[in-house]
This record gives sequence, structure tokens and C-alpha cells, in this order.
Amino acid sequence: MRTIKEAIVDRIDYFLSLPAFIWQVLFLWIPLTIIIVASFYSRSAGLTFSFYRELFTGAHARILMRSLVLAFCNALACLIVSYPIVYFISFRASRWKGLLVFLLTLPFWVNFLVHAYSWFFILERNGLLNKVLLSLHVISDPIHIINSLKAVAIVMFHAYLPYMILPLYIIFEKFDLRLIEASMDLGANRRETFWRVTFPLTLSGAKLGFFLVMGMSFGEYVIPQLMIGDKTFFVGTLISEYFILSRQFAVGSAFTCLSALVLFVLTLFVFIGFRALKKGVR
Amino acid sequence: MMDEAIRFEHVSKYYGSELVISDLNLSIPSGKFFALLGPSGCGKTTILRLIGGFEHLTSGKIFLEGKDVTNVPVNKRRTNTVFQQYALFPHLNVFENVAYGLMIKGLPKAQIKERVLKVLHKVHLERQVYKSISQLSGGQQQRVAIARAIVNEPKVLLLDEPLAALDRKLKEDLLFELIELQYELKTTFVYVTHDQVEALAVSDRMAIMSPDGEIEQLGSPKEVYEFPRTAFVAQFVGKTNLFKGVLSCTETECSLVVPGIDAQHIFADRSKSWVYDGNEVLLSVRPEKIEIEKRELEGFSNHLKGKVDSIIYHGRATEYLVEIGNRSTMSTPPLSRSNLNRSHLNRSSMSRIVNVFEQNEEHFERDIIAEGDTVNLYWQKDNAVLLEK
Amino acid sequence: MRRLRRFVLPSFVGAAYLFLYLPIIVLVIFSFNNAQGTYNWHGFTTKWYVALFHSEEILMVLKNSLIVAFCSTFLSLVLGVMVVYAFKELLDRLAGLFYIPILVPEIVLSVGFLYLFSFFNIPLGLPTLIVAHTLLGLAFSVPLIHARFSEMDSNVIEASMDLGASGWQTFVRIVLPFLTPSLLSAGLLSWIISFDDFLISFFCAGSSSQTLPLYIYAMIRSGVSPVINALSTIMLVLSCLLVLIYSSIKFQSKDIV
Repeated sequence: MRTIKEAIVDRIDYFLSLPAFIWQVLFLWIPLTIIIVASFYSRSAGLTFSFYRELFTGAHARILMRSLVLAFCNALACLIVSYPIVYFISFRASRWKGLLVFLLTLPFWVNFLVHAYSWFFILERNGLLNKVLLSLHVISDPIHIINSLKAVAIVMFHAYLPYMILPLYIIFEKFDLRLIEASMDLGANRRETFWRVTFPLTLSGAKLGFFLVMGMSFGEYVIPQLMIGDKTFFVGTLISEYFILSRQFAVGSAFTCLSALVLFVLTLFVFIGFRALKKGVR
Repeated sequence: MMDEAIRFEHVSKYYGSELVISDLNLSIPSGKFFALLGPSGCGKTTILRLIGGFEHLTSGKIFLEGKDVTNVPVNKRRTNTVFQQYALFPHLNVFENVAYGLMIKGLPKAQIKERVLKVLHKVHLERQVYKSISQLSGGQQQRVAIARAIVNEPKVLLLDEPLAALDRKLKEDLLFELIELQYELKTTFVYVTHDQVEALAVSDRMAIMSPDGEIEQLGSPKEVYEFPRTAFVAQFVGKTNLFKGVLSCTETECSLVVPGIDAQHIFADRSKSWVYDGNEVLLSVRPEKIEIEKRELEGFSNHLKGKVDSIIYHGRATEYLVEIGNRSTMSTPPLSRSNLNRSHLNRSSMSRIVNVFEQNEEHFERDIIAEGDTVNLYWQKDNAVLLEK
Repeated sequence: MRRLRRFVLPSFVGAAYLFLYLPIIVLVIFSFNNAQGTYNWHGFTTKWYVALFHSEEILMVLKNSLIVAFCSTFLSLVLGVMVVYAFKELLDRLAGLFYIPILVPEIVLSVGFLYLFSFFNIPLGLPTLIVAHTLLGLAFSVPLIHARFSEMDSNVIEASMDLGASGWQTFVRIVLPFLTPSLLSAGLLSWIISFDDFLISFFCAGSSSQTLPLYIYAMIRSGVSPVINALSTIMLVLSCLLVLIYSSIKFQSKDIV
């Protein structure tokens, strides 16, 4: 006869891991399920597609499109800029590497709200950018950047750059430099070595960073809210509008589900794109 | 029985659906250095782990000094293990690693310190006591692992191929130290290895395991080497020449008829059931038992003539590969360069290659044998062993 | 011209870093600006720093943020270690499961939390925030701790038991010290993410409890005040010090070795 204590100790691995799994189920899966259910069902209207039908407007489509484009372009821009930076830090900057990496992590410690807010100082009518451009006589009138899509793009790019650099850096650090030596030993020049060896092997880091930035940019709320407000809606600001301001929970849930679906489709396309890229480089 | 350290009774072990150990009965004597020798994958490490308690057996019983320990958990068994890759605790220094077991037992600090320092002295690490593990060489790390185990004064010390990761010279040194250690401590050592040189050197008693997990022979190193019971043992422990032939027996004595060679004079133990006229058997002749001479000698019971195919220089000995006869014989010829060169030939017409070892006793050889020379091979019938096929 | 090629990449990187730090530099400079609600420079002053320390409001939200950050980090580390230690083999395949909270857009998570808590009539406040942040923290702690644990020589655990230690003793004396680097990095990550979090707090903190990011947000919307600058500059300096202390500890321990 085994005591309860013995039985527990025997299968202690299940018991130990239970809290974490319960946490996941309770606070991730259930909420997600609720959202999906709420998009189809409400106490007043019962089971219905009506909430989704409300979303079939041009305005909604434009908002989704806008966020998609923003997310994709932001990720692309971050990738194109980050790649040379990481290449430099990892391969070329032997003495400065520690300092450079440290400098990369520092911005994380400043709240990104504060970052966005600081951009006001730069982009505003009387801000730094205009002051510099005016004094250099590049322009004659102050340019309007604040409260426009341009502001959103710039600040988004700035905010998410580190999120692209870090995964790339991790992959680059794992890269075995001897592979480059081997490639050159076998006759390839620098450019060929880069495209045939370095690039394909660091692609996984690029993929990770891309998806990370794209996913986060798509649902971004704060930056569009601060930079452009209610003038132009993005997915993040619209969802917040539904839930906090107009309290249309059902439609809001439907829109949330729809957005998630759209993002998923985009992710799929990008995933296929990366596959093709990998094959093409071969 | 206090002179039996470990006993396995009808032990079987399944790994999933694979039967790794089948109905094993083994008795390991107390206070001696016992070696378990076998090729990779034969199950010898499994046996060690069963003794240590890291694995549970499927059926059977294990006794430690007469007590049934089949269901005793690892941390309660009075055995300690020296792991192949040392398994030292990376965040503790040498002293703390060795003291670990004593600390768990809750011994007073002063006593721990005394015992640890004493043991570290035994393994010649007195000057590395407070170093961190990463600063030590492979050999030093292995000594720490040994110290960590023996400081607990276990009833049985289990060693899982402890020298596998070390280079040749270090291996030889540590081997000798292990022998001395066991002699001094009088603890039962159970040593698992696939290296027969190690096994022969250290053990008082050894067991040879075949690839499918059976114990082929049990005995002292000398017994196993000089009187192997099977072809596997003869070939795994050291090198040998195997001749396949048919027994031709009279009332009093037997000889071996080997195709392509003159009849060999052999010593046959008639009491063995498989020794009878007309039976196919194997003859094992160790290379060092064969004399190789250019001139003719008298007084040897067996004589073969052959041509030197290749010579391999080993420093203290020279190995000759001699081609004899020209018709098919039997068991796989020992690997030789000429074999590789002639692999395109049909097996049945492959010539017989005999291995001969000669100690380089003289600084200046009087009668130098070179490749291509015709030589005479001699050995006495007492120096060969008959094996059942 | 050829020789100039060598400078292309470093200049590019330098420009990128400048771009990255531009807002921070501006932020720090303007924390000493002797004017409020304007982007023009009016002279040097430290009065905003003084105001900071006298503000009860700020101290309270700071306290809230710290409580939430420490609690959620602690929970995610504890739960993470439990899962990793218990389920090593299974986790080799399932570790990805814990990544999902990062993949799901934060806004969807926030909505989900809001629903969950209102569905079960749980009042919004610091506890609900802690729970939500723990979920995020788990997404980092599980993979990081698991990766580190996989590097461990499994023989070491057996060696410990062979020397007489029980499962619990082995865990405390051997496993935990080995996992410490991953615990530190996972903990740091979870802590920053919780402390910095705005969106989830926005949805789930309720009206009674404010965290620092929420407070900053309110301040931003109501007008430019250099007190924010002052606060952020202090945090920046503090984190600088933290990182420097941490890396000097790492270097010191290497010296002893």
C-alpha cells in the first residue's frame, strides 16, 4: 500500500509542473477562448455573425491594411538597417564589442513611453529637427512631422530597432567563424562567402527578429495614439477605442479576432517568403 | 558471505522493449580489484549502474555484502561511483567537491576537513585543495572524482571507464595509482572498461562480456589471457592467431589437421566433451609465443615456413606479418596491410597471415629479418590453446 | 577612394547609434530645462529633480510598479524552474508552447485579460496585474531556464545522489546554483518587461492602482513637464550603475578563478 505522499513523490514531476501549466491555461487559453466566443455571442443577440458583418466596411479594411503595411515595412526597415550593424559588431568590432553591446541594451531601461515622448522634442514645430534644418537653411518653413503618419513611422522604427538587433546578434554570436575560413579555403571570395555561408546561416535570426517586430508593430497602440491620435486609426488604437471608450465589447472582440487572423495570414506569407529566399540563395 | 561483495541473482533488465541483460548471475569477490571488460554496447555499464542504483532491474535481486539492496535508492546505497566524464560540481572547488558526501551526512566540520585533506593527499592533490574545477587538467579532475568517491569509505567503489578521456601517458600513470590505491584501501573496486590493456593491468579478477551481454569467461587476468575459453575471448583480450582444423585423435593423443599446412602438434584436454576425433576446432596461438627465425631450429613441436609480408615496429617489440601456405584456412586473419592490398582477390584463395611478436631485446640485431625474407615459425604445443568452435 | 570604403560600415553603425540615442540625449538635456510646457531652452536648473523627490504621487506609483515587477518576476521564476526541472524531456518539445504569449499581440492579450477578470468578477488591481505579468514572464523564463538546464551534465545530478544527497538536497545544492545565470537573465528580462509595461496595465490595472508607465502616460497627455525627463534620467543612470555593478561582479569572479 502506498501512501499519498509516496504517490506524490513518485510523480513529482507532474506536480511540480502543474502550476505553470495551469497558469498558462487559465490566463492565456481561457482569455483567448473568451475573446473568440464573445465575437460570436452576446447576451442580447445570442449566437450570431452580426458583429463580424459590422466589420465589413471600407474604413475597417483601410485600418487593417494600414496596420499591415506599417508592420511589414517597419520590420523590413529594421531588418535592413540592423543587419549591417550586427555584422559590424559581431565580426568587425573586436575591441569595442562589449561597449557597443552594452550601449544597445541601455535604451531598454528607458520606458518606451518616455522615448516616444522625447521624440516630441525633436519632431515638433519648435523641436530640434526643425531648429537644425532652419539654421542650416535647408528649409525656410518649419516642417510638420508631428501628428502625421511620418511621425508614427519614425518613432516605430526607432522603438523596434533594438528588438531586431538583439535576436540577430544572438544568432551571429553563435556563428562559427571557422566556416568563413573554410569557405575561403575552398576558393570563395568575400562576397560569395557572405551570400553562400554567412547570410543563409544567420537567416534564422533575421526571421525571428522580423516576426517579432512585425507582430508587435501590428498591434501597437501607444505610438500611433501619441503621434497621430484619433485622426487616423490603426488596429491597436481601434481596439482600445472599442473596449475602453465606446465599450462595444462584442464588435471589439470580433475585430480583435479578425485582426489576429489577418496578422496570421501575413505571417504565413512572410514565412513562405523567407523559405523562397533561403532556396534562392542556394 | 563477507568475502562476496556483490551478487547478482537472475538479474534481467529491459530498456523499453529491448532486453539488455538476461538472467545474469555474477559474484564479485570482496576486497579485490574486479574488472568488467567488454566491447561498447555489451551492457557492462548497465551492470555497473545497476550496482550503483541508477537503474532499476526488471527482475532478479542484487546483494551488497549479503544484504538485498534491490530496492534501496541510490543515495542510500553504500556504493560510490567514479563517472566517465568525472561529473564534478562546477560551482564548487576541489575541497567542496570532495567534502560533498560527508557534508550531506552531516559530519562535523573539523572531521570533514581532516578526512578530505587526507584523501586529497592520497591522490596527490595536496596543492590544489581550494582551486576551482575549471583550473584543473583532465588527469587532476579525474583524481578529484576518485577522491570524492573514496572519502566516503564505500563498501564498493564503481569506476565507469574512468580513464577513457585521458591520453596514453596519463592513462598509464593513473592506472598505476589506481592499483596502489586499491591495494592500500582494500575496498572492492569494480572497474568497467573496453580497453583490455587496462583490465589486464589492474584487476585481480575479471569478467569478459560478449557483444550480446553474456559473460564469456571469469577468472584472473593470467587465466583469461593464457587460457581463453572461446574465440571471442582469445581475440578480444590481446591478439591471437586462430587456426581452424579437424582433430585427428588416437587413443593417447590428438593432432590438428589444417588444410594447406602440415599437421599441427597440439595439446588436447581429452576430458573436454568436444575434443574427439573428427571434430572441427580452433587453435589459438598468441603471437609472442611464436619464434621467428631465418635459420632452422630443433626442439619445437610445431614448425611453419613462410614469407614475411610486412613488419610493424612498436618500439619495444616488432610485429611480423608472415604469409604461410596458399590455401584457404579459417577464422578472420588478423588485420594486415597486405590484406588490405589484396582485398580484390577472392577470399578462398587468400593466403594465411600469421602474427608474430618479437621483443627487441638486443640493441643490435644479429640476424635482421626484412620484408620478403623466407622465415621459419616455431612454437611449442604447450603454448597453444584449443578452443571449441 | 578604396581606402574610404573601410569607413563606410563604421560610419553607418555610428550614425545608427546616434539615431538610437538621440531621444535619450534630448531627454536628459531637457530635464535641466528651466521651463515647462515648451520645447525651447530657457536655462539650466535642477528644480525638476527636487520636485520629483517631493512628489508623493510619483513615489506611490513607483512603489506600485516595483511591487508588481518583483512579484511577477518571482512567480515566473519559481514556476519556470518547477516546470523545467520536472519536465525536462517533455519540454524539449513543448518549450515552444510557452512562447505563445510573446507571439500574440499584446493588445489581444490585454483584451483577453480584461474579459477574464470581468467575467469572473475579479476586481482589477495590482494582483490582477501581477498575474498577467507572470504569464509574460513565463514566456521568457521557461525557454531561458530550459536552455541552461539542457546544458547540464546529467551525470552531475546522479553523482550528487550517489554521494548521499536526496532529490531536494540535490536540487538546492547543485541544480539551482547551476541555473543561476539563466535565473538572472530571465529575471532581469521579466522585471523590465513588467516594470515597463503599459498596454496590459492600461487594460487591467483598474482605476484604483496606477503604475509608473500609466502615470507617465497621463502626464504626457496633459502636457509636457520636465519632471518626466528628470524621472527618466534618474532611471537611466540607475540602470547604468546596475549594469556596471553586474558586469564588474562577473569580471571579479573570473579573476578569482
